[in-house]
Amino acid sequence: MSQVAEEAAVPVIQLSSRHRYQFFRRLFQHRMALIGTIVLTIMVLASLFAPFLDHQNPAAQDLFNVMSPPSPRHPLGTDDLGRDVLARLLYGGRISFLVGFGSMIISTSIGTVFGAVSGFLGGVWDRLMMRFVDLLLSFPAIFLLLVVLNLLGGQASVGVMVLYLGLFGWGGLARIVRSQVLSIKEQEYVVAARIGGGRTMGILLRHVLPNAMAPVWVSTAFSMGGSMLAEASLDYLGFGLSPSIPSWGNMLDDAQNYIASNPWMILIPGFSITIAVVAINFIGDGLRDALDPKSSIGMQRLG
Amino acid sequence: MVSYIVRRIAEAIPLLLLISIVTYFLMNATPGGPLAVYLHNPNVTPQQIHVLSIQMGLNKPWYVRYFKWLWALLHGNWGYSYFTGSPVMQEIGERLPNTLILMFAAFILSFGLGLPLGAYLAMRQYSFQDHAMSLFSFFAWAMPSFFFGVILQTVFAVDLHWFPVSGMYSAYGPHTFWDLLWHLVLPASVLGLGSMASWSRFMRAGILDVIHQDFIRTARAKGLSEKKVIIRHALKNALLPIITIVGMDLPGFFGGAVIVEQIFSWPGLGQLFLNSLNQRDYPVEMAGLLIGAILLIVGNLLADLAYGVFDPRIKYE
Repeated sequence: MSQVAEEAAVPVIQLSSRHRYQFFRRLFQHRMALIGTIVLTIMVLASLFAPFLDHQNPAAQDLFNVMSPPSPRHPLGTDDLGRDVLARLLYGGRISFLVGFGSMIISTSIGTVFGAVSGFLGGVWDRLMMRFVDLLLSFPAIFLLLVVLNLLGGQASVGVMVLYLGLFGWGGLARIVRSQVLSIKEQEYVVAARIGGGRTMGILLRHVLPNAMAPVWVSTAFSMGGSMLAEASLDYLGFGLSPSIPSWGNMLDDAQNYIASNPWMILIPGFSITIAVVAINFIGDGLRDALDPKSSIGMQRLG
Repeated sequence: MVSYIVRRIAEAIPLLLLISIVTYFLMNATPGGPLAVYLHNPNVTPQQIHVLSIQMGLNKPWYVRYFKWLWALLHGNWGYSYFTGSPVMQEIGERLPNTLILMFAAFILSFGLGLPLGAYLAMRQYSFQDHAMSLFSFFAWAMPSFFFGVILQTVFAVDLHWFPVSGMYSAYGPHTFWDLLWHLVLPASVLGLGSMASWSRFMRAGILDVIHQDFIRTARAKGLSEKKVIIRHALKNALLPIITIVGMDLPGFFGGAVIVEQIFSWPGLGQLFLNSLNQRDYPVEMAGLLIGAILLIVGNLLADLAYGVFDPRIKYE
């Protein structure tokens, strides 16, 4: 959408306020990504340096001191087993960010390579590979995920969770990368590289892929937020991480029984995960505006 | 178009077979089979368990049982639940409509609110409402649905008594439509919130995309009111990308329904499936998964067909 066309469509009277809004809009848009980055950095750093911020052990139970309100010893109170909520929140952040980041790395790598190879090879391979993506996308992923996690008896480790969320989440990105590659490989510079006798892999890596990366960067953010939400939902259904792992999802699951008497127990992890995902999506939105304004990559989630 | 539909359905069959084999294998690899509940029961002897496992065919290898299951299915027999003994199709038949009602209500809610909202915000681009709603949709999308659901339940059902806490109908009295609607409000809001937020964003972007094109300027120039310009000219073109998004969001609705049914004890397919997982009720598990897959495939096909209705340039081959 060009600026000229936008201005032209606006009645003259509104021009001045319109300009101001344009200014604020740009500021706001950059600001969103900026705010997102700051908030996310603080949250990640806080959970990384959890041992320095809170000296409590997130697993230590104090059964004489359950559901206690905030105090100097427990700044956010204690939960139903007398565990320090602040410590669980900080250590839980490690789990959530690890799951989000790890599965994002897996799904982005597979999606990018799969889509790029499919688009670049073309022909029968392309058709076969895209059929496979169709399969993946029309899979009732949550049902199968539940069957798989049931295998582990709701005692999944962080590694298993990362693997499953990563392995199921790359279909959409593969499609987008493929369509990028399809249009890029017809460009003159790629044809020139071919005539110059470059090897297929070399051309793909050096000329095609770097130019197809914009949607990949954008999708990383949304994929990370989506995985964090999916992990929390699976914890809630009782098919997620082992209850002994202090993840935000497990905290929410523990807290829902006490929502009437101790609402802060559910509000603290609930808003932590919401704010983290909002921050990540702010960054994703900023990236999209900066890199790939036309794309429709959006927020996708499991449940 | 008919041949296109037939081809799509034909393509779906290998997928369904693949899903069924994988699930059957994983299901049987899950520790503690259907008879595990009896293992610690002092009144059940090991001999009885042995007899039961022969009766249920559980002593045969999984692939033998898979082919028996498949053979029966091809003859229209989905098997019997290990626990209630009733035909699986009867159990699914009782639950499936409830899930569809829930999904449909959530769909109507997010479609009926999200799209007009998006169009409204597009006409007031960069206004205060626009920014506020944009912020709201970010939060609406990022809130885990069970967190949002439990909060709604506590505030509007437990504390304020505006809506029922759970279930589909009141325990006493006839099952009326209004009673159902009253029970639907909270679950459908939780299920629909995320897509309402994201569809309103896409609608806004879609309208802003077309609103500066020549045919809109022509419509304005011939003196149509702003409302008519938007509704008759901009809307139809902006709907195109939305339909793809709606199709893509369908699996999300399905996954979301599993969670919402759990929060509000909605007697649907998701709840049945979770129970069957916990009880190792293999025939119900298989049926739940396959019906879920079929629904998704049909939904995707419908979305693709709807795309052609709104964009005549698309040809089905």
